[in-house]
Amino acid sequence: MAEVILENVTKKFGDVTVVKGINLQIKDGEFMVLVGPSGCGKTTLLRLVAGLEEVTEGKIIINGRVVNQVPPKDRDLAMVFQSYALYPHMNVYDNMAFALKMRKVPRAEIDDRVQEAARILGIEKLLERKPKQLSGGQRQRVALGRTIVRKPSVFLFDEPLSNLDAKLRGQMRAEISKLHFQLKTTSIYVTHDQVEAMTMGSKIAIVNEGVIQQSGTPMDIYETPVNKFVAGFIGSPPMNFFEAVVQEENGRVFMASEGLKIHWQEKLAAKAKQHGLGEYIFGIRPENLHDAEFFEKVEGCEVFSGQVEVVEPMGAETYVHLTTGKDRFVARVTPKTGARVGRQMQVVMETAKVHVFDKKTWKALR
Amino acid sequence: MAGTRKNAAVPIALLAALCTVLAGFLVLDRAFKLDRQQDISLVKAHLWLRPLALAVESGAGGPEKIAALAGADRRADPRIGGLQVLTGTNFLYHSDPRKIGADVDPEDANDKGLYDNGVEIRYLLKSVRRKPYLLDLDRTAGTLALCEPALKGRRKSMGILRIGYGLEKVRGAMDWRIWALFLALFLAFYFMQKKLFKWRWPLAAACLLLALAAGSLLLLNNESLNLRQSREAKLCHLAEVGAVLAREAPELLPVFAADLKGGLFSDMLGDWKTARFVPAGGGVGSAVGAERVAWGGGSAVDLEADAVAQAGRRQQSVRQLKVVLAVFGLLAGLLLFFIMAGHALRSLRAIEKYRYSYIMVFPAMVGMIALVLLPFLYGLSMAFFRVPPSQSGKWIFVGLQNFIKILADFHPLTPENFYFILLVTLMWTAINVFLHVSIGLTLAIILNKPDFPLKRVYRVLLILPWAMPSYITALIWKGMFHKQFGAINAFIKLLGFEPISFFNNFWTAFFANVATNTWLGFPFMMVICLGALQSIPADLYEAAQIDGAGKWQQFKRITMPLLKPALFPAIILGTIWTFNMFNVIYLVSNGEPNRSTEILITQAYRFAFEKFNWGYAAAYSILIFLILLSYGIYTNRITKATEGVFD
Amino acid sequence: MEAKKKRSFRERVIGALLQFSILLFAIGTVYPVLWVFKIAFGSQRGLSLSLSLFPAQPTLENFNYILFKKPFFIWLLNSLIVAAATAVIGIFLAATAGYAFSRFRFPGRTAGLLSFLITQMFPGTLMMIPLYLIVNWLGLLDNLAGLVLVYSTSAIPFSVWMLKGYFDTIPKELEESALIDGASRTLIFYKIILPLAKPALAVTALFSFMTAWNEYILAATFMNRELSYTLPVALRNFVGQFAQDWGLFAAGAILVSLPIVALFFILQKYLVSGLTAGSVKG
Repeated sequence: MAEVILENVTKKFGDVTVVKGINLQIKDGEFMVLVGPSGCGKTTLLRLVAGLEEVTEGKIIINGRVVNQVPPKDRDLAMVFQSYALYPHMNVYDNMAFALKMRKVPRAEIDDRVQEAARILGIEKLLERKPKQLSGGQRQRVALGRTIVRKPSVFLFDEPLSNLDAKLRGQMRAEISKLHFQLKTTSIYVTHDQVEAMTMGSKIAIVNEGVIQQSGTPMDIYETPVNKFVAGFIGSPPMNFFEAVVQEENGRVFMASEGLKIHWQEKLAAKAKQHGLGEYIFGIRPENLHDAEFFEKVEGCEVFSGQVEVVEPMGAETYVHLTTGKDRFVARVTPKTGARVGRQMQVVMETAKVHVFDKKTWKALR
Repeated sequence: MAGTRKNAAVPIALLAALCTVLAGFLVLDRAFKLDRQQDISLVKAHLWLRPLALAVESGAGGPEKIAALAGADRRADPRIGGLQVLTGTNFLYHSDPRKIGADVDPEDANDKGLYDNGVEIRYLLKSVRRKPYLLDLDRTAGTLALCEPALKGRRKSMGILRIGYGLEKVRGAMDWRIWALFLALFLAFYFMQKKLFKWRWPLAAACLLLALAAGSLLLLNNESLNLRQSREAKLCHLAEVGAVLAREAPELLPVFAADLKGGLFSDMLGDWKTARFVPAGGGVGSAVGAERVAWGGGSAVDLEADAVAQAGRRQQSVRQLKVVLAVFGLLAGLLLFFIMAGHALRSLRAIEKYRYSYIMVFPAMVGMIALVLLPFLYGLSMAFFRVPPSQSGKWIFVGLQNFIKILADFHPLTPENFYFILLVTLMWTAINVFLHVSIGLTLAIILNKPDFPLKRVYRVLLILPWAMPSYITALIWKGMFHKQFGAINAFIKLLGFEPISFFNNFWTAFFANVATNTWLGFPFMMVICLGALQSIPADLYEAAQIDGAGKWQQFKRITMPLLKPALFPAIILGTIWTFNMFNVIYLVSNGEPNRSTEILITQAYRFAFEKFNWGYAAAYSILIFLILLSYGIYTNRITKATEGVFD
Repeated sequence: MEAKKKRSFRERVIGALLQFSILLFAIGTVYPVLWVFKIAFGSQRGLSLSLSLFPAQPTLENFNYILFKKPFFIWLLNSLIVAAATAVIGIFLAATAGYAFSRFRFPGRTAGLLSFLITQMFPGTLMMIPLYLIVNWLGLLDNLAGLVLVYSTSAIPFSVWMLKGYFDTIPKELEESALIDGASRTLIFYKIILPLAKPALAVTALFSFMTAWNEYILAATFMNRELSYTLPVALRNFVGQFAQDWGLFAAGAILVSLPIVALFFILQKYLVSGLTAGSVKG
């Protein structure tokens, strides 16, 4: 069990700075998910923690010890690779036992631990097979098994589920979460999939361009993103953005763009006045847009109409893509909706849920 | 990458030019030093010979006196190797006591020169003057032989005296200043070129300064460069001889002074290098005359004092300069040291950091350097010498002569001419590689068809030639082409023709070679092509089929482009191997008929091991290497065969 | 319907032609080898202009002479020792260097790789005299070790390039995983990399072995005592002028080639993967 602290960690490859002064604290037993688009530096960050790359600047502290100069094997951590990195010439048992053999663990104990891990993962019957003879999901389990036999103080996962098909991915997601609940080992999990981040992480850190944009619990981040990047990255379908002007007419405050003019209630209006009138970027999540026919309009809701472009029934709900002026929206509405492609549709917007971002800095304004 | 290379080219070229100049300077310097030492040795040898010659001329004392004198001389100066006094055809004295009183033996290699000269002197009396002349000079052995005629009156020969004298050792021309100069220059350019760190310009400057200091020290200290040029230099030189004599053999000083007065030495310094003494030309002669006038009254001791004073003045100014330069050098050195210390630390750290890599590469590298690179360099250097076949013989430096001999002989239509052989080699290589690739590729495509019957059997059968040792293959094929029992001729006979003597005609012999090498080489290409073909995903062909491409289109648009990355390196390698395919040519046609089917590598082998002309063979080999290297660089640039390998 | 039938007929004809020509080609390829057998089992007097593969006067005299009248088995042992040692040492040197060149980015890497490439262009004639001097200086003339030394280094460049190409195809994650698992670099090399590079190692070993087994010029230069000959030197020497007795040469050729051809065919399944995996990437 351990705590991992990154202090001002920077990594340069030649002239390119991939990780820029990251500070992050991962508490004991926490499941930290690093999420971001590909090329954002999250995998490099993980490799820095693992010791596979050398830190250019800053400190990495595991369990109170600065490990910058400590080789990977002495950092007491285990890693699951995206490609699983199972040794092709060894069978499953040997793959799982390899690390223990390296550490000169007694044979009987190796056997116990491998059997136990195999039981936890349900792969007892595969122990004699070579990796080639396994399916994707089985390989994934072996890769997991290989890490848990070690009983390390930190788990590292590098996009472990990205090679699996959608169904298996969902299954393994749950399984890893379950595993973490059982073992309570500090874990760092890298992924580009925000669904994995939301569902698995006890905490999330969103990384972009080598910098942590925001970290916190999934719901915190979902509800109060600090900038437009985070807001757009987390959530599926993603948040709708549109550029509009806040203007005042006859004492009433409006948010107006080419095809849209929405009146703001007093609370919001007060906030708008505080930041001043002018151009902003606004964001509204699809679930805060409703089909006017089936939504009971409450206070703080405004109605606008848009042209329906695509209708995507998902079963439990329906995504409606619509345009008004230059702006495009996705609304997540009840499947009972009568939206038809090419027709106009009345949409309710919960103005209280609108996020406002600075046009230049993309920072969220509160 | 290309940018840094371009930047690097300029300093590297500069450095190369500098090194050439420096090397030339070193050679010259050594030559000057040798000349100078040789002059001193010559004068000394002469001075030892003079009293003896006088004794012979005066006829006082007879053989015993001469023997006593000669013995004393030999004891006094260990450099005296041999002494002979020849009167008529009879040895009055010989350093080999058994020969005293004997007649000169023209068959004896040692005495032959003396005999010839004696004959010459007797019969060509008018050219004889009271002047010593150089009989033999062997710089590598470090000896010279000087002759001095003993004359009766002015023109009549009494006899001839010969002295063998050891040349004085030349102090190593490669003294530390030269190394310092080299090193400093190298470092300077190294720093200019490498984008090492922010210190590189000061570093380069410091190195240049250091080079300047070392170079100036070198120039100032180098009498051979500045002293020798001037008239004054010659005086100093003679003065030095006087000083040496005064120190080492004072009894010779009077003779020296007398000869000096007689003007004997005034022109010998410049012109005494030829094997036969030739009087100086008119211009020099008059200068010598003036010299004689100027020197006429001076005694050797005066001369010595004079010269010492001159040398002293000279040395003082040199010393002052040296101090200035030393200060410069010290400053530069200090600067360099401080910066280099940091750099060395960095290098050490790099070695430490990549320790594991270096350890892993080390054994292979050591092996390569010791058993591939060193032999190569050794062979390389042989090309600039005439190398005698025996190991003990001396190498004689001939510069580019071997290359010039090879390249300047421009008769491209005669066998054994370089250009002719080059032509044959190029034709040989082109035809072979073409056949290897086309046959290999065709077979691979056929055998890669998924439903081709027995393809596994064929695959195994068709690589058989690869498995056979190539020299055995070559000899088998030589047998196959045999006139009396060869299978090829049996086949020809079966077709109703007369058996052919394959090796009596250039084209049939060439054909025999090509056939052998084709048989030998196509399996390699086939295997490469098979491997490459197997790596092309089948769905590409399916996609092409759906897009409406025919078989030929598929081959042209999919197979060929995707084969390229594997095929190009194989072709380059195959070309190099074929170009140097020794076994086939040597064992099949063996150059027949009339050395016309020789390729470069077999010709080089013949020069080395049949004619024992090793320098020539080495030059040949280097030309082969240069051709291949330029081919490699060129094709690599065109095909980018190694692209991505170094990432 | 009609057109389809016609086409398949045409295809069948082409297929038959193809098969026939490949068969002819294969016969052409194998014929010289069979011809050697004919010469070897025939007597010198029976040689005639005939395409037949059966000797006119079958005899075992040639084999008898080589095997039992000459120290053939000593030569065989010499050749085996030299070739095996060359293969082992060559592989060791090339595998370590190839691994470093493949995996690490150290200063001097590109230069090293390039220089290995360039050595392939050195003409052998240039090297023979210096090599002789070096081997003489080491006191290894007439010694199998001298040959092993020279052969194993001369095989390095090709082997290094081939192995490096193969190592490049082994995923880096395997090593990283092992590194985290607590294996040392050396252990990773021996326990992970080498087992995975088996095809390339087999091919490299085969080539080194073949180089040593087939080389005769250097061997003839270095080996002067009859008992220290390797097979090629012996074959060349005791047949003397090959033109004189083709039967002996043929028998010798068969005896010398047999082991190496057998080895080649045992390892040939690795040939394609080992040789081309490095150079072909997708």
